[in-house]
Amino acid sequence: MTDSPRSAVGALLIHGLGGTQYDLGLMHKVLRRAGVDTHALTLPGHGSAPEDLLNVTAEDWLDAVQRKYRELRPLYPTLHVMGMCMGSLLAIEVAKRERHRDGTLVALASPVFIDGWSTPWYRALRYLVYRLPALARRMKVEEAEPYGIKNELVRSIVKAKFERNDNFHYRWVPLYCIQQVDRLRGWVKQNLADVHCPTLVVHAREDELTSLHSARFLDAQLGTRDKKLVVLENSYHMVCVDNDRDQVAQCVLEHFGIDPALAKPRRRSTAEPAESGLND
Amino acid sequence: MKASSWLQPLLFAIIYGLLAFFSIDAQDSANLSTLIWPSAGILLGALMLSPARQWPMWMLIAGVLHTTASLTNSRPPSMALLFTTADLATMAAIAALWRYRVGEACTLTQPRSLFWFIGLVLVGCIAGGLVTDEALEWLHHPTAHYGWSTWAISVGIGCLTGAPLVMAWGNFRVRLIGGPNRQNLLIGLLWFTALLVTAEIAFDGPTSTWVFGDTNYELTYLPLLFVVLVAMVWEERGTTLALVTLALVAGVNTLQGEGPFVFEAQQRSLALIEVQGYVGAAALMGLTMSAINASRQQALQLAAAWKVRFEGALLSSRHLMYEFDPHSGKISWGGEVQALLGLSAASLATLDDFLARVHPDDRQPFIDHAQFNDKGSDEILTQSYRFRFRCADGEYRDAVVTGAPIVDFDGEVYRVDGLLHLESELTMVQRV
Repeated sequence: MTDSPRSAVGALLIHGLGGTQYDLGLMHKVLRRAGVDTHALTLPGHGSAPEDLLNVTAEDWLDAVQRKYRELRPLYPTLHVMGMCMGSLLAIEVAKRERHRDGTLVALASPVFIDGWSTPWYRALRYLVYRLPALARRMKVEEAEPYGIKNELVRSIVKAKFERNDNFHYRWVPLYCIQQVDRLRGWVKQNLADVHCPTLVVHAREDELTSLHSARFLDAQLGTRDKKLVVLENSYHMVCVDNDRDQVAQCVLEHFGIDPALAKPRRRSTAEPAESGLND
Repeated sequence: MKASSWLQPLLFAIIYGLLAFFSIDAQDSANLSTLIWPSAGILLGALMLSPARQWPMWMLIAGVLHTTASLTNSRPPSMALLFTTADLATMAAIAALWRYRVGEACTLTQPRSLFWFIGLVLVGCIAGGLVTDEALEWLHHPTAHYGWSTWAISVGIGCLTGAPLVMAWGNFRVRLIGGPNRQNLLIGLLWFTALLVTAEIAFDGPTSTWVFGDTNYELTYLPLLFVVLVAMVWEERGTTLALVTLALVAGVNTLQGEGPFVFEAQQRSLALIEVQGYVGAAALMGLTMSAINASRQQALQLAAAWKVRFEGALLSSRHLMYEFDPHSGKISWGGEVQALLGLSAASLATLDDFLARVHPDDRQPFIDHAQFNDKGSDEILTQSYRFRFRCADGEYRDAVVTGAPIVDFDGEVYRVDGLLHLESELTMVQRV
């Protein structure tokens, strides 16, 4: 994450609710390898403890992203804005409000509708609880399997990180926070025709949090003609860390006008046995 | 963000109190014991779920409400205190022993913890009933020795239905993803509705008479089927809900003098005791079903965790695992076949497929050394064999298999298992 411009191209990467830059997997590295300056921000209430989310609103998140965008905007002739999950809602909304044109927009797994196959049946009841603010602030909404990940090995790593209390993602968020995301979803759904920058929408067919309906909605409503919808066939919600992560990186590079081959995944190979190894 | 210190006790007091004041009306006129006592289950569940430091609070609330309900229902003070003490002591003993036996696993979804729960409830309630009966005699109650069973059954069935309900729902956490989805809800709702309808037909006199012309004892088996079906779809929480619903329908109708357990010449108390026996049997069946379901899921999770470990080891060591079935000629592969060989596992599904890619000069030695043909020797030798394998790019690469047959109890080769890896180019060059 660079602080001063070293390239003519910059990218602002926005993480999701309760998350960190881990949500975006190797995207920073891939982009930097491709010569793009990447910038990230920790959204208000994140990176510390879930309780801190009680003091923030959707406006705070949006303000923080807008501030960062305005800070970066003069530094780069081309500035791309990319977000994952709730971060993609913020990216869309900022692109809309700032009339973003000198760069592109990437919306990864945008939860315009929270209707994925693994969302619990009682999800609609949250609107009732919102009417009881004290309860909404007290109620915890937990992360659970499959943690947005289809790859069992990666999922086991995420589980282990949770068990170790690694500070890469909150284990739970207050329901109040989901209320803020719902408000943000409401804003995003309006005036999507005002988004005029080239836009890439990436969504997994099997996203367990938000169905493909969200991506199709964006694809239909966005004002720009230069838009592309990529549907991933072997991932769940966390598209940047799941099975299709390399495909996502390639799509993003291609969308940025960079050779997608630069996103080549780390190759495995076998080293020669060491001198004092078992062959001796 | 800590759970409010007053919310849980308030909820407990409301539920316990309502049940206590409702049940105290249904009292055996002879031995003064209530005929139903679901409050016991609520207290037991709270104790089983809570750390010991919270026990005095639950017991104080329960004790005050129990005694107050007794006194307002004209129980003599000595009797009121006796039943309160018996209830508190029995529940505390069951909960303490259960927690001691199952340790950290404060759940009823594991067969071991469930069987300890059922066993302790049965033994505890019988012992509690006997002690209460002795105490009644010591207090010179005129109808002492009328029987310990009324207290034992009412408290025992209250425990079997109430405690699992508290345990299941006390652990409920709202989730963003995971947990029961809409499809599970709808399927479970279908079985739950069927349970309600069949319970109503079986226990509600007018409905049963309207449908079948009479109340039939045989019909009481019908709701049990749907308790099991609900348990399979809605798991522990759904099971407890189904059991409470069945207990409510059966209990309320029997209290009203309707249903298959009520006869004209029979006392209402006997009918209530009998219907509780039925509810108890349903509870045992539903909870067992739920525990079997949960333990099956745990076993699946364990198997998945091992699968991930094996796959991680194969991935890191860049090996493939193979299993050859000599009877079908098929090979099953583990590991990243596509990444390592550039071929799909499906394209190497049989020995013939595989041999077609082995260098012609290496085929027969490969079959011999990899022991794909059993020679019937006495020794089972794990061997490594190097051979040339044609990868997806058409180039031959040196590959090594290391494996041995798995021999069954009559000496026949059951499978041939082993590992395969490609040698690095440098190793190949050095050897040449």
